[in-house]
Amino acid sequence: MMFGLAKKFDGGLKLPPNKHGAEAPSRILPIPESLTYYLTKNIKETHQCIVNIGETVLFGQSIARGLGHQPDIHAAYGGVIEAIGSKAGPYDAPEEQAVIIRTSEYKNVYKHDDKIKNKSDLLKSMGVAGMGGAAFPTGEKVQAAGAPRVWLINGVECEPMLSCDQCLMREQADKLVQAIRYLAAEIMPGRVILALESDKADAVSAMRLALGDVTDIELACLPPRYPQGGEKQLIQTLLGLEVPSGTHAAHLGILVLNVATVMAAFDALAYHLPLTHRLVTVAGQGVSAPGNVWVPIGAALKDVLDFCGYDGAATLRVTVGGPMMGRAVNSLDVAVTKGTSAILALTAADELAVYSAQPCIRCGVCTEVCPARLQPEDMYFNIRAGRLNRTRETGLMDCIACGACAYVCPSEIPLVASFLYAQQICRIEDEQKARAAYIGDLVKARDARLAARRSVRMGKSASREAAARTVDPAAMEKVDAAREKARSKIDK
Amino acid sequence: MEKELKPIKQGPAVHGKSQLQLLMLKVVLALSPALIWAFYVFGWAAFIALMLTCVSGFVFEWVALRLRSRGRTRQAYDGSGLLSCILLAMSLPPMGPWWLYVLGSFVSIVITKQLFGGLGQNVFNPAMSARVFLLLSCPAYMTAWLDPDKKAGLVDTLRYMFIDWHRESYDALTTATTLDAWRNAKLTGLPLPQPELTDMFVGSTAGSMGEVSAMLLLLGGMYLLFSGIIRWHLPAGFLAGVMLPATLFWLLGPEGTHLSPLVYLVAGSTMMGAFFIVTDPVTAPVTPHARFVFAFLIGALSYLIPAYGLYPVGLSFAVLLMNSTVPLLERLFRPRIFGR
Ligand code: SF4
Ligand code: SF4
Repeated sequence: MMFGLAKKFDGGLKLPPNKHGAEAPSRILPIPESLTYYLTKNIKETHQCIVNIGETVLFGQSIARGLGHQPDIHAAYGGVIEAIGSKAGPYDAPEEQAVIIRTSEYKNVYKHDDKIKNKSDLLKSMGVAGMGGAAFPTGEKVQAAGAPRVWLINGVECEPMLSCDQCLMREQADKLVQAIRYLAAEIMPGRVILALESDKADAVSAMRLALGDVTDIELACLPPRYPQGGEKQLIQTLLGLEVPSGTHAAHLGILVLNVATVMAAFDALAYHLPLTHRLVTVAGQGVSAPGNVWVPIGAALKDVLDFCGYDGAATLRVTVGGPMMGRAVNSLDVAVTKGTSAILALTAADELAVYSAQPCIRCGVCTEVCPARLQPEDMYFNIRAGRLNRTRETGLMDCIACGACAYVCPSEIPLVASFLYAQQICRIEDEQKARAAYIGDLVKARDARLAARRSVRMGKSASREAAARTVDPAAMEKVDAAREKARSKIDK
Repeated sequence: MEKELKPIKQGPAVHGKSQLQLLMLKVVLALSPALIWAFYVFGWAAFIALMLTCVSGFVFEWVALRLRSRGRTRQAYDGSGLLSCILLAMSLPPMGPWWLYVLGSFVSIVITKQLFGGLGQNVFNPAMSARVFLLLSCPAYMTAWLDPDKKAGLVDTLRYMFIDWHRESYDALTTATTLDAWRNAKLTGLPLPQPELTDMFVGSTAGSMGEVSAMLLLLGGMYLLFSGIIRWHLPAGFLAGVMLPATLFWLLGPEGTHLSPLVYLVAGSTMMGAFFIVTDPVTAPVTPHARFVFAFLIGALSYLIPAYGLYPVGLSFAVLLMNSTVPLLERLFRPRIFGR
């Protein structure tokens, strides 16, 4: 079905696609010797290990429970738990806690019982997380959206070099349509739109063919532009709506899921198959055979790169994720996670950013490309001057870290790095403030409690009757209210 | 052998092709046709004036950077000083005493730029502030424009610029610009001269190097526009700012008291202002709306100041005046943040 564009999202730019190996058929990574699963993220505990060293696990067996909404982790191949300890991590913290499996046992498959009926719980226990990059828990997202007005299936993949979603749509178009129909019956959206960019001709024609004359799934072919695949940008382009600052798409009754996530959710809900493998783009001038590879989650970057002809002598930078929003790693022992869409081996030929941070000439191109309509040069100036509050007023927390500004800046200023750093500081500040307020409330509650008790005691010496009156409901109410307030703060 | 990986903190691992130095050089490239034409029209004088400004400007910048910090001298090579000096030379008379150019580059580079904190920190347009400074301190030399028909050979030019630079010795060689001549005639009540539009557009009339050929400046401006180095907001705002009052006064004012707006459109100074002066990014606002308003007001003021004010040149005053309103404009025209 054809689709009229509501509006183009603000800012953005055209990037060279550089999708090397996008047309090649996907390959399967041979079973690696060991698999690593992270239990922490930026040193914060996200998962609780439920296996012991020396224990044998089967393919698909759950090895760690996610805390809160975090999806569980499952073994991608059977084997023996070799170690539980620190391991090179992909994020700010150089070392994360991890479970390491030595693979050995391939035949048996772990059978999950199918007692869980609630779909968001099932998604959590089958380990489904967003596979577009941010690895947001899918169960939580689906639950928050309820029965959405619009369900957007994101196959935009606007980052240069990435082609895993394109490959998936080309090779498994029929299964994707089946998955969409199955999930649509589960979540009952008002409208279903599958969005992709028109330069991926193979994926577009495969989807057209698979959709046939289906009319309840709309296909939106968008002109390529970065960062169109951003959730808020996609919503703006397709529906002409702006997600209010500080909220998520669910606030507007919109659910956005990446195509690979849709597939994983389908497997989880329909077949009780946990998420254990994903399609990863391996590209860059540093590999001789770029393309898309089915990789077990937990495989080391080195294994995947070597499979694609990694040239360690030429490679200067390896990133996990796309060239714009991915993260450069300093070790190849880092493991593939659910959000790893790509592993890029970049060489001198790939126009690496150096961030020499020359003076800002106020050329304004950063403002022009910013999809959040911020003024990066102004925010950078305020951050440098230590005016964090001013920076916040001018939209620091609305920055989606798309990297467009840093990419175009002629003075090669590390804009994104400074924004992310400032955001982190702001978050810590907020947390501290909330904690201080919570403690303040606790103290107040205690004082009120003591006062109430004291008045009881004083009342006793007079008469029992008067005491009943002095433990007046007002004081008790005060205590309850303070307790309630404190609790709601902490929930936040 | 494995090389050590070079991680970066955060942000894109790759970078677009835009680079500071390259940007500056492209603007110089855009100016070069008009410059070369000016060499042809004014002979050696123009060339020497340009060299004096650029060389002294470079020395001043290097010394100032060195005094501020040892490591910074690298910045003297970023091309921004060169560009400021070329723009300054192009707005001064093509022939004048040597110290005029050296003083100009000193004011422009040291006082306006480096004392304010170097590239990106200056509030006022370096070329325009130096021009205003010279105009106020030595107006006699700043209004003596070499007559293209009387350009001298190398030896004579050197003599005029370095030795025999008293104002009187210039009298025979200089004349007024088309716009000045008209203005003077109007002020003194003499018969009004008819401007030669084609001469002005192609460039064979008296004036500064940057005024001489509107056509070649327009060419350079188009190059900047189409290669994405400048956006349309600033030049369009400026042109609209000049043309709107010019047309209104011409239509509504009494017959013969105002020049036709066409004259302004073919004047080199208009093109220079639109594509090379108001487009200085450092001293202009950053957001598109603010930029348009900023340039529009500069345009309008640079029409109104010579028409009704004391001074014959409006552009430089208008630019400086508007430079000081940039923070205000930016505050007024801040874009609404996404989702707010
Ligand atoms: S792109 Fe860079 S140089 Fe230009 S205004 Fe933004 S921060 Fe400044
Ligand atoms: S990284 Fe942030 S500030 Fe820069 S363009 Fe993207 S949203 Fe705007």
